[in-house]
Amino acid sequence: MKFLTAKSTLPFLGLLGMFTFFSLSSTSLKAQEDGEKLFKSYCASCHSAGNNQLVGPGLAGVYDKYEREWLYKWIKNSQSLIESGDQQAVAVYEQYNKVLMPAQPVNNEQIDAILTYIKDYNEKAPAAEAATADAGEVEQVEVESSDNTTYIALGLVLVLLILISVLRKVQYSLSIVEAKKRGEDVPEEKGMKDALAHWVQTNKTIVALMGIVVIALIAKAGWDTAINIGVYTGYEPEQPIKFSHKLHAGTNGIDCQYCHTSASYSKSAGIPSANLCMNCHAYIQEGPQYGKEEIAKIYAALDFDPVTKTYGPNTKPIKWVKVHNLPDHVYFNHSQHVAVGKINCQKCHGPVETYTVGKQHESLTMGWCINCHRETKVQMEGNGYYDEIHERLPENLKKQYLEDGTITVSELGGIECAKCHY
Amino acid sequence: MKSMKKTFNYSFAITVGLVFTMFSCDDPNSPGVEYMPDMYRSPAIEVYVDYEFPDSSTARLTPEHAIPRGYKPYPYPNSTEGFELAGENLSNPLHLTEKTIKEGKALYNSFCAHCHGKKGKGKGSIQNAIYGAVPSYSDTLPNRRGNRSMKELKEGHIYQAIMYGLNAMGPHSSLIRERDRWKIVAYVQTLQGKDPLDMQQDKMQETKEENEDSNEEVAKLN
Repeated sequence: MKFLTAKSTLPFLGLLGMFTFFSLSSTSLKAQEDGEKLFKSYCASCHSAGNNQLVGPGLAGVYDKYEREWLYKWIKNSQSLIESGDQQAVAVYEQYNKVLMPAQPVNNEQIDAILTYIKDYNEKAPAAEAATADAGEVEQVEVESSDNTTYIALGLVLVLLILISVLRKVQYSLSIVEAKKRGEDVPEEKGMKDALAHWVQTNKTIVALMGIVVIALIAKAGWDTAINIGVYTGYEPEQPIKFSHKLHAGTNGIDCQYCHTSASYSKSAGIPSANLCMNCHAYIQEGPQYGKEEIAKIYAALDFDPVTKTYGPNTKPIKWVKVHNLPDHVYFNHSQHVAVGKINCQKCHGPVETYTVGKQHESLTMGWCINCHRETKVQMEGNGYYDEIHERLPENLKKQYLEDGTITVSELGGIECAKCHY
Repeated sequence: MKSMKKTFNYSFAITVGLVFTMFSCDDPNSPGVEYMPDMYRSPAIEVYVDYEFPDSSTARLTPEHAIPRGYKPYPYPNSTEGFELAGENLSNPLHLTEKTIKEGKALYNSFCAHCHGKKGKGKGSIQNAIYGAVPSYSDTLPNRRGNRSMKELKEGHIYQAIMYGLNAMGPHSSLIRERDRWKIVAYVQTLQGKDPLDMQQDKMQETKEENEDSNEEVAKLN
């Protein structure tokens, strides 16, 4: 220790101080992170860290409103606190519709970390909100500007055509002036029509060939149009609410049949009624893409007040636009395909979990149906009825149907006309 | 010559008209042209077709006081008391087999797994923080639902939660049919670490014994 003079200890102490400072700040950072993590895993399903009420009240200000000791007791076992007759506890219980808060498996330190997180959250929240609002505005402007390209292109083509015709005219009159100057015989003004007729007279083969090409092109275009009448592949109508399948079925992994519940029971897969949206959106009031705007449309349809969580009488149905329209002369049943055939939704509807807007993926033409019926193997393993009936088939039929070891839908009559048209 | 000019004028007008109609079909909400609407549109009432009802809703409610076939009234109210009562009195009416449990699993994966997780541990695929704190079914922490842990929840409690929802969970009675709800209940019991098949057999044994006891008593009285 003798060697540690004042000069040498100073930087050492400084270093030590810096070290303790960093380690301290990092522990407080860690506590905050832990607080967030703990809040999300124990509290977030019933409480928001801000002011809005979910199942329970928003937790902003709770750290100042109640004594720490009381909070510890309440969080660890609110029921026993109420039963012990604690006045504050009973008051809180009565105030929030007598919904019991489950006991939470957290210790005092963890509760402190959670409360610190909630405090930090509320002090930082206003700034963060303003920032997200700005970002939203910028995005919207960008979307609007990228719409007019086709009109601009058409306008350009029109201008070019006018320019060409004007230039032709100028060239023509110039050539006449030239000819007159040279003293040649200028045919009287014949007009465009006569000139055209003259050209046709002299170039009959070219005209005939051009005629054939034009007729063929028109026929081809006509055929293509006619064969695509009633085929709406890629039909992607704009919906009244910007619902994203990508977000719900893709990112959040919600099963198709959670919302389209009747797919395995009925002819129609069903468009979910708004009460089904409210299973989650009574609490999730803000989306990652459009904020509160689109979710508010569900509330408007149900006359739901997101603050008091009550429903009013002025309901207005949401007018979703139907995407898949099958003509009336063909019968299609979802339950037959989903429940019995065990066909994935994606087989006909495409990768819906990647669509931001619902669209028709397949053509839904008869050829498309028939192809699938020809290729799809019927799964009859473990079905005693079919085992027995195949056993009893006469030899020639056995050879015809069972030789390849598979039975397709068409072999069971899946391409009979009356299967779908009746 | 004059007639030729006339035909030319006509054809010109038709072309312009055609081009105009082609461009006017640009409405993204119109699917496009269709053949013979009388074969495409159903004369009978179909789902999701706008029949211009005064409230403009295509999905109609059933007439007032209508009761679906096989409907049974559900006597337990949506309250803490109802939850307790349902837990005490309700039991699975289905005859449980391995197959029921398997069907229950498929239904569970469709209707529950995105929040409760495939293994019932509360780790579902929903990203939102509100559904990030879903409790595990096999949780033994005391006082989680009333004075019992998650694991101690009975089949009636689980059924009541599906019917009315609980806390941040919404009511699922309109999307899941009664039979299917009970299949899910049975599967959830397996996720609690119980064996619903065994439990049902025990219960049947008990009621059988009770019946025999009462029969004996009746015989004695006679």
